[in-house]
Amino acid sequence: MSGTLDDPIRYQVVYSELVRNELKELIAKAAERGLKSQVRDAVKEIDERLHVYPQFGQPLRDLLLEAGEQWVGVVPPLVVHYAIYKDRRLVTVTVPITQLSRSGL
Amino acid sequence: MSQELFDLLTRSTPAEARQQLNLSVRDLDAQVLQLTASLNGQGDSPERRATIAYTTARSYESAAETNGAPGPLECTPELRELRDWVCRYYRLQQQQYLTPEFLEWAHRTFDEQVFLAGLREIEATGGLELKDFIHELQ
Repeated sequence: MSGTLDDPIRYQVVYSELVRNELKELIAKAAERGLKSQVRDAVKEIDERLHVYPQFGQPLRDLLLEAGEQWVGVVPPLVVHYAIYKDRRLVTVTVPITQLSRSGL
Repeated sequence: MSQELFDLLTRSTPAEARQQLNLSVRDLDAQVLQLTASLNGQGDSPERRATIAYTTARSYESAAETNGAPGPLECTPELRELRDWVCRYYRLQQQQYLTPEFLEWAHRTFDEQVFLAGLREIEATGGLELKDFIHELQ
């Protein structure tokens, strides 16, 4: 699996409806604990990193159905699973973004 | 000189910094790359943040050029090295979290059905960008 960077052309980053809906729930839960801005900032940071530095995380496995790689990354207090399709300059987030254990959420 | 450059990077875009220093794209990339040597082994700092911000902004410049926007900007070998440096730093930051136990948990709890369903949805609809729903997270 590739862990190195390629030409600095931004990746397109797309999320599924499930990820959007679960993020809304996560934000609501964070707000109850006074952590809303921290979580929202982490979401924005994740998005920017996925656009510009998608290999910021840890590769987990090659994908079989289409040439791509599954990665996991941490921007405290959040964990994001994502897939990189290098040839298409595409990152997909289809598994809900979750919180780190012991993050207070 | 290093601190002056860090201070300039903190308050200027790459284009502004190039103009102020009268440097080419590649020359400023090279100077910023040289600065990273003084940051290695250190944790978070204003200087590191300024270097990361510069590298990110330069990456957007290169993307604009690739997408057809006019301009003499270029993706330099130094910029590629800067991006490698940023990624290495991010990975190092995460090492405290990406323990063998965590990675085993990530493998074990990964739901392939959810993953594939989301991919099918994105293939069909184009998916959502954060800008489409960030207002819902305010």
